[in-house]
Amino acid sequence: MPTWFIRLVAALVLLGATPAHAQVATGFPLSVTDDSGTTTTFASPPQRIVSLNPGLTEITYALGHGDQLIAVDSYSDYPPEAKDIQPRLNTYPNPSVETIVSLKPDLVLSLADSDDSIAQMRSQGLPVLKVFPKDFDAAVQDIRMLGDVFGSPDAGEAVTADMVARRDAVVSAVADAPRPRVYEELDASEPDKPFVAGPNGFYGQLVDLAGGTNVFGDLPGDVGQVGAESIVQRDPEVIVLTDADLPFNPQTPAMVAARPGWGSITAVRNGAIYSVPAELYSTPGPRLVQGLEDLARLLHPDRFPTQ
Amino acid sequence: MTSPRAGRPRAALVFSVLVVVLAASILGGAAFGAVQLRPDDLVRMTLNHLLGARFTPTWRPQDEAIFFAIRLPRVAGAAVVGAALASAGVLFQGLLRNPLADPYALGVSGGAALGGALGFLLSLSFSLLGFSPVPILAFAGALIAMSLVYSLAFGGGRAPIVTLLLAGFAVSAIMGYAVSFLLILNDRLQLNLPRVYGWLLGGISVTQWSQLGLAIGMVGLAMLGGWLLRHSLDALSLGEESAQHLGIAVESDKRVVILLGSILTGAAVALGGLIGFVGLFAPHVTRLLVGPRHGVLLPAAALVGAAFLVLADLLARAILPPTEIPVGILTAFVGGPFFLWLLRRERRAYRV
Repeated sequence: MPTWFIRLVAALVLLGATPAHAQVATGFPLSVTDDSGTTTTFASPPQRIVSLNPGLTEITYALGHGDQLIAVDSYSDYPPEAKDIQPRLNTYPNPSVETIVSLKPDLVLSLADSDDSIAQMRSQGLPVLKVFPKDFDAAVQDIRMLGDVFGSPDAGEAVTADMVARRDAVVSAVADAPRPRVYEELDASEPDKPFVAGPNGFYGQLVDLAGGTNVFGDLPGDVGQVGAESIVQRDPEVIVLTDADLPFNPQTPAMVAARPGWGSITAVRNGAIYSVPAELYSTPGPRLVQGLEDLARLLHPDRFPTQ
Repeated sequence: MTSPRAGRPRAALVFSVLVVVLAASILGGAAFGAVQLRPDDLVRMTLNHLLGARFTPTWRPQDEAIFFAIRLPRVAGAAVVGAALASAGVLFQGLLRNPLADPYALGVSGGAALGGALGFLLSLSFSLLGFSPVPILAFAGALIAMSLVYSLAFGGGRAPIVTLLLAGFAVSAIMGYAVSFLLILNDRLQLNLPRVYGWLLGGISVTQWSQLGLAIGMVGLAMLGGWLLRHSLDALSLGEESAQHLGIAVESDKRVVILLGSILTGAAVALGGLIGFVGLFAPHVTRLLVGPRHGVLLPAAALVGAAFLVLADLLARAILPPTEIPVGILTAFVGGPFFLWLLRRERRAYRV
């Protein structure tokens, strides 16, 4: 893990946490509208937070409020101290509303839980924010909103300003560079018909921002399952694997290069097959920009002098 | 595969037509796909490949890779899986005397699904003759489920048909819901759900010619074994007691038929996941065409199943490019209405 990020988190913990705990926050009562269009009013910053998604846990820590998390979902593992939070809740197929109610939170953060579960929690008087950003800008807005809700607008401003500045730096660095054809593979448990990144969602958007042309930019959604024929025909110049360190059916660059018929692909002939950690490209949180920077460096090494 | 007995012009005619249909569907499957390749290029490419002819390539190098390394193994795989499922369907419908019996009747679908899901979820990374963990564990799961069903149904020297069917249903249900349980325990960001769900809907997956060699060997031998038992199967379809009176070794033949059916279904599952409907539909359609005698029915159903699945797989690959659709959806959409139409048209009292 990069040291700059630890330093940033540490700085923000000091910056943000102190005012939230020490004084009556300004700006309250505060009304916010979440990604489900529901408006919630907070009389004061929440002190007992339940996060139902690793990305939301990560954002809460980045804003300096990790110590207010009283429960997280079972996959929250970043930053490392999030692993020690108990209890850890199963969220699939639905979170246990009973358990959450019994924890008496004053805020529940939900990403993609069912409308029914959210409605049930709200009917029990629990404030629930559905925070489900679909692209980079939405993630920035949501992080800023959470900064406000937590009573730490400065922290929200600092985290998002950093994300936006670094995103803009990448975009301008690659602006006039030729855009290589990129194939981004999400899962290839069946290697002749992998799941791939489509045009929308974080995966596809980060390819665009990093200065690449997504060879499957014509798919109807975020993710699609495509046949190997189409991949070979679209002849990507760079192959990005986000499934190389999955716990199940990991695909290494060597395995991809050895797939029958793939030898004719430009990326395979040039050895331009890279694996990246999936969590940087799928978790809606401050680390998205790190994934973007890493990807841009892979696509345009000449534009990013090595430090 | 095997020609019908002489002196049966109708069967001979049906066989010639079926062979032509299969050949045509294989040509169609090879000619079309997610990527459009020019037919004349394909012919020249193939002549270069087979006869060492020297046509100057008017195609891109990756077109050859698409055709020879990706598309042709897939078409061949669809034919093998279709033939295997149709033959297994004939065997199980004959043995169980039940028109609803299909290759998955004796617990195979649950066993294969559980094995396959474990292949998806365990941290395994090995391969055997070109097969990855998912098909290997699905094959093993199919065989384990089937032997479990047989041993549960077996008592007092015999395994009654009804007990076999009920045990098959229960084992399949238990193992199928175990898959759901595994998914609940392991689902991060709902990623596993579409993967396993897509696999359960079935899709031909052949990446190495070595996979096909093994599958063709197993399926061919099992089909031959089934054909050698054709008289037993004819007798069994009259009922076990009648078969016994005709001098058939009912219990041991039953065991062999179940074993052959498991091998056929297991091989099909390894190459194609759980493809529904082919194993139910192909035997019935063929029975309407050639009648119920297994000597003719078995090879004819294999041809029907092969041709049908090659066409369904072609649609799965080509209908929404570049997206691939699970072929099981198409077998139901295409085969279902056709089957219903045939049933209405024939208006026969149905007999297995």
